[in-house]
Amino acid sequence: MKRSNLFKTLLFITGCALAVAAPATTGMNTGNANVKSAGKLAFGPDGVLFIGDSLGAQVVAVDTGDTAKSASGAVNVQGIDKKIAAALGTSPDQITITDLATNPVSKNVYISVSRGRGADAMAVLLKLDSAGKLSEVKLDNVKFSSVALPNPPTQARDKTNTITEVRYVDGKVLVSGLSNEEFSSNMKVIPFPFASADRGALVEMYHGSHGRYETNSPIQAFVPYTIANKQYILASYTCTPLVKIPVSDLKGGAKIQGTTIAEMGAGNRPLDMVAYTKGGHPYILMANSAHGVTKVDAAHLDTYKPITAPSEISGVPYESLADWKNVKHLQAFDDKQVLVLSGDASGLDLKTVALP
Amino acid sequence: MIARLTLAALLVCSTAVAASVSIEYKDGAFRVVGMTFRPEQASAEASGFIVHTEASKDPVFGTYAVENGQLTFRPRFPLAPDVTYVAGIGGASDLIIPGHKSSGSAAQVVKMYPSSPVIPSNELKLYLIFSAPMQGREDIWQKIHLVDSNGTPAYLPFVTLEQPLWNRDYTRLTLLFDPGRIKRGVKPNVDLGPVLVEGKHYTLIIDKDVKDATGQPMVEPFRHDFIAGAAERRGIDPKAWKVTEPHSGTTEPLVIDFGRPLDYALLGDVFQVAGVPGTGMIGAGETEWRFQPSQPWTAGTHQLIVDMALEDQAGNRIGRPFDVDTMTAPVERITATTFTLPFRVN
Repeated sequence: MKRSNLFKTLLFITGCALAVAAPATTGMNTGNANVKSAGKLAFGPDGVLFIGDSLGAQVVAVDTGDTAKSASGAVNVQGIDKKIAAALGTSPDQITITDLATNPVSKNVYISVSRGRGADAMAVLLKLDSAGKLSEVKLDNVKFSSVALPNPPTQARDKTNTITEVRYVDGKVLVSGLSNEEFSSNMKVIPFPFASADRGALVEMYHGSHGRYETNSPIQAFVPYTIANKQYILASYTCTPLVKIPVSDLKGGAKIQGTTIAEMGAGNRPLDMVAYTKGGHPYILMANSAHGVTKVDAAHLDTYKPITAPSEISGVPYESLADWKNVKHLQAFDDKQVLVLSGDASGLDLKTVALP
Repeated sequence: MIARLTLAALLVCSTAVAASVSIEYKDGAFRVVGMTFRPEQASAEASGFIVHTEASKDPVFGTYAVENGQLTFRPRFPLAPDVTYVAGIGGASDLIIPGHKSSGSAAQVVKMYPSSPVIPSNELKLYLIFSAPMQGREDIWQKIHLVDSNGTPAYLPFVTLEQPLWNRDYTRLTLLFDPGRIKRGVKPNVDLGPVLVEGKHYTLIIDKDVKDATGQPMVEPFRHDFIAGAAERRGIDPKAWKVTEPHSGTTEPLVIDFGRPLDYALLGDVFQVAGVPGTGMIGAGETEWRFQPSQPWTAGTHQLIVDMALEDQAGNRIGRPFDVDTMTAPVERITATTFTLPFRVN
């Protein structure tokens, strides 16, 4: 009885907190979001979808209005590339699926696509609902806010400013990127809701404390991750070092030295990382260009000794999942399944698969 | 077929005119001609009017409207020239808009930078210049090969980014040598050794099968031979630049001789002559930058403003080498974004 009362009180307090907190979409305007390239996607709170627009050198937050809770379902679309091409009135070789994101509440899947190739390519955002129906999320008349990525103040350069990943954690949008002319990898931390005056911090990342040398190799994939009650990002790079960086260190102008906690083999590019728990044990699932899908044991990541000298495969243990073939993208779906885009030039399939 | 005939019969019953029905495509819209529709029929479900590609029965995205009794469907995206479209409604012949594979292509790689036949063994970037906009597909990595003089391909020489680094026009592709293979002491460098070995001969090969924006392969494959020279580990020192100052009242070019090659793409936009309109040009071998004023020089001291983003071929910047032995040569952090080089016009 006592417990029940306490529960009610807690509910009441939580209810009050919810009532006073402004939704994340407050202050957004309706209009043309001017998305030049629909790239990396990440969901934030209240149905807000972040779109990394490399060509537009901006991150756009879109109010999808998609906030109706759905029982967790499943996705299974064979030939998703052909289905998308048909809907966009073109051939499969004229579309590129850039990224995927699952709306954590509705479980609808959002897909960023480039229609056409080269300079005439058009940015398209699609929604795949639980019935397998594909529809377009129009970006030319949408409730949105955006933030320009900080550019060198001198002059506009012709660069694609590639965004390699976008993630949201605790009121911050984390954006890793690389520009094609200046050779520098960076990570921007942008508070959300976006403030026009604050363009966030530009932070250079150093990884691979391999003896005496630093490197600017680009971050290829990362996930926000809590280690011993502290918020980190876990980042992976080409040739697959796994590096942890405290989010609290990602301050404007700060020069961060990441801590390498695993070496997962050369000749490889990580594609996507998904953090999950199974049977009370934490794991990270990683898709790779050459090593297939690997399952990383993510327990006690604070206990690994930093790798500071050239070494063979070492640090955090992981296993390779030989059955997971030709995986192009991995995204979180629910607590039992992960969303997988896989296939080759003959066709791509999108499906949910039980977490390993 | 029966379903369609039934639908057609229903439609005929429900509409005022059912003479000879046909479909036309004009001004970016499909129209049903010879049949009158009510406003509430402005959808695929209510009208049975569907436009799809030849490869799929799924309808293409678009909007329906009934204007003055005429049903129109406007596709969301412009029709692709090489795709066949089928527009159909019960009771009328399908309208087929055949796609045409465009024939021939003018696309080819016209130049690779650095243009010098010898490039440093710690080269960081190669730029490929194409004569036409290209597709920008992610599978381009399988069509780019670096081989040594024995024809042995280098093992993963470039960073295979998911979104390859094209310029906005898709006419220039940046290839990044894997930086982990260049930095001394970093694991990939230790495991695999550097991609380029000083003194060795290499050929960069781009397959003909790299497609232009219209889907056509290139005219021919591209081959470019070069030799790996000594590593370049010096920072850029503007004090060592040779400046040829122009004379007042003339439109002589300002010439900056760097004494060594610098990065091709950055040379294109890091220089600015304060208050003087004109055109910058990159000299042969990327060792020189020339500025041609659009009006005669005025006498006095002028300022050349250099963006600190300038790099050489190996990523070395002004006063900041890319790969530093931090135990023996600590470097100062440079925080200014520009560097100013004054010059005299007499």
